[in-house]
Amino acid sequence: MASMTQTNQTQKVWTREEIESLAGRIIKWILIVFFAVITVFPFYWMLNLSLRPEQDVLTNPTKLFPSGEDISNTLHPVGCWLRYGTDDPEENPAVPADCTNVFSRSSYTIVLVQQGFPPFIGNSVLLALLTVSLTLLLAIPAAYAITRLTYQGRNAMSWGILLIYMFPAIVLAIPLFVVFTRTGLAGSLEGLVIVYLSGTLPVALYMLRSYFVTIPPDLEEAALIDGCTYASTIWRITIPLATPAIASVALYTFMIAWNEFLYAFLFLFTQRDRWTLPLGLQQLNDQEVPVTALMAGSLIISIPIIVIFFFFERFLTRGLTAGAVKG
Amino acid sequence: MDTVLNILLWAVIGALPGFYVFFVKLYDTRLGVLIGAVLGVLVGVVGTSIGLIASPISAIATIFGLLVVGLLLLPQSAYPDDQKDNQQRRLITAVIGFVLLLFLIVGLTSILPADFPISPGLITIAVIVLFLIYVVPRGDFDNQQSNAQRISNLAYALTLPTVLIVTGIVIFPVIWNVIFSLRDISVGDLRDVELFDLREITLDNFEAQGGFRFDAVPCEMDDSGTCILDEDGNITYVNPRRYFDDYRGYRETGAIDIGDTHYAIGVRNPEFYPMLIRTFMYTLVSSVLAIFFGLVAALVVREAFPGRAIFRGFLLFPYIAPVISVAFIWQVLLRQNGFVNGLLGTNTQFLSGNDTFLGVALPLVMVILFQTWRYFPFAFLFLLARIQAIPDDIYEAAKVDGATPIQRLLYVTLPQLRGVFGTLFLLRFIWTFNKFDDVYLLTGPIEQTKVIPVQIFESLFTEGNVGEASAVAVVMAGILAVTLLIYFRYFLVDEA
Repeated sequence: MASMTQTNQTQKVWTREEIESLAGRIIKWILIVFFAVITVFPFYWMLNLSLRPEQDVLTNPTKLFPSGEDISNTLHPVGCWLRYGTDDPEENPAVPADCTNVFSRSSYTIVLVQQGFPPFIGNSVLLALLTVSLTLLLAIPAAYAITRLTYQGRNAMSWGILLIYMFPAIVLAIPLFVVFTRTGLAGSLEGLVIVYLSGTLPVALYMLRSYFVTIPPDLEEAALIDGCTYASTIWRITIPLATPAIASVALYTFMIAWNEFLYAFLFLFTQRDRWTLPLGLQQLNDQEVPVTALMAGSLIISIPIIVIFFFFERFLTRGLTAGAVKG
Repeated sequence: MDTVLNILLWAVIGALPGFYVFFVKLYDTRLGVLIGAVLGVLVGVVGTSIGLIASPISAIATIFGLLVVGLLLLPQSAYPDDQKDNQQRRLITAVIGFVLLLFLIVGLTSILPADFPISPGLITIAVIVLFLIYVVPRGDFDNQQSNAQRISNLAYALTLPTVLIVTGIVIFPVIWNVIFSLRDISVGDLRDVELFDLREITLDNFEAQGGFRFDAVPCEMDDSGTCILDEDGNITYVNPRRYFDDYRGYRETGAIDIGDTHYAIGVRNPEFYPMLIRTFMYTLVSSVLAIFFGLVAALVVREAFPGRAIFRGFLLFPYIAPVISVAFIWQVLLRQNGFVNGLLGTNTQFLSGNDTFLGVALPLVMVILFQTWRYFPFAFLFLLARIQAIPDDIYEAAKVDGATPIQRLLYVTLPQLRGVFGTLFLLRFIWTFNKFDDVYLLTGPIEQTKVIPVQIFESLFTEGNVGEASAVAVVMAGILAVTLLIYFRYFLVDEA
């Protein structure tokens, strides 16, 4: 009874625990806002600038939103392009008056039509898919061997490959450039895929290995005893069990191949028809294109990777931490 | 003397494939070396001197081809029965084999006529496939071998393609890089130059970048040979600039008197050492900042709040987006009439210009911020995984003992993260040190942000000096190796 009256009389005393956790909560929300802004804002800004006319971008550098008119002005030519494929009535008589000579007015049609980005998209997709499928094709059997089969040099092999992964890309670039020029592989996507494989295989192997060791080998052993061959054991047992890891390897490999710039620049520079998206975008900068088109291009190459990532974030996060992925 | 050297060289060149080929099939390496050496001398010395074989590379290809054909023609009875204990051999074999294979490919493509209908790329792939079939001993799986041996053969077969691609793309270029760094090669020479020519090796490329002199400079003398004194009675020295000009473009950077002697310091490339220091500084600061922000983000995400899943997705945006597009948006945000200047009401040149911040060139500060922004998600992922693995009872115990949130962070969480910090710092240091495209794409090749990889790229493409570019690459790999050794030896926290 006495203690109760005491509490009622004196003002509530804040303990250090309470002060700190209150402060912690405030700081936490400040930080959440801070991180959200610094991570999302640059991408929002790409969108914002790509939708506004260049003159507006130059005179109002801090304008936060495009007007509705700006948006429809930018998107209308894209619609024309999708419907008619051209803005020239002489090429396609069906082009109506409001679609005539509009491609230079929209940042997106400048990039997609006038600068000819669609082939680059095709090259990038092809390159990324080739890299992904070859990586999986080679890394899955290798990871199986490293985790499931005993042989001499097993540890040396897995650590050696990881060590090689640390090697500076630029140090390898000069000799590879020379060899590729000599062998005629320069300017070919197949050559570039081989170089990418040297970067993706070690990670893939490492990520798959750390997942395979968590799967108990009982099922595979049972299959082998029942007379399955190694090939069908890998195909029917190991691969289905390791689907999450394989998915994350596929995603990560896709990301490497999609984003890669240095080797694409070195090996494909002279062959414009084989350029990848990052290379095409970088070269855009050297020409007299408006900054809004640069932003549209940046957004076009970022969106696929961000969308894919958002759908499969869980896989990728797990894979990234498991494999000590390069960046 | 030259003839003797030539014969020796060719004997060694021939011995290598001889060793290899016999290693694979006969396991008699001495015989292989002998036959290979004889073949080497025959093909290399005789073949090239009578004009039968055009270049050393085609000679190497010929030697290799002859050995393989010779072995294929050998009768089965010539093979030894005893093939035990050959796993290691096969591994070494695979690696050496691939190196030799590349010799062969280069040789092959250099002797093919230019209008050959099949592309060299296809030939390369075909040769690799044939090689795999040849080396991977398929027949061995059904032989009367022990189970362990069959499994181990299978393992080599499964890992071989990966090992070949990875080592082939890495080991071979590294060897070449060292060779190039010792020779005077420019981009224009690449088509015709003999790749393995070691006759004119020199350290010029290294000197051209890192050349350094610390010389005692003589005084100006009169006709009688005594030093001339100026009005104050001090000795007049030969102008160091003029003095160093005699040494192939050395430039004087300073002078110092030690005792009675006047020393002048001269360097070949005054930008080289500042560049090394800049690279080091930028790598260190970016790595530490990225880890710091990654830690803060991980602590924020540790406990649930509304929208956490989406927030986690946002956090990885900078890391997953293509470097070229994020470099562009930074350029646009930071340009003179861009968003940041508009917000601050200033007119600063962030990515060029000579402004400094805390004594560091502003463009370099921006590059450091860019690296921090781009790679803190990487640290975040690692640290979050580790933080979430800390068992709750440790926190409960600390709470019972009266530890406040700050104390729990300092004395419970952070000590648990020491091991991850060690690994993270190592990874971030290496990768930032090696990073080329981020820096190059953000600011271009300007002096303020020139780091080693950018310098290599510039030497190669702007100056077309393959030799110097390779020399800088060798220096870079060396610095990295030494740093890592020191780190492993003295700093790495010993925890998984």
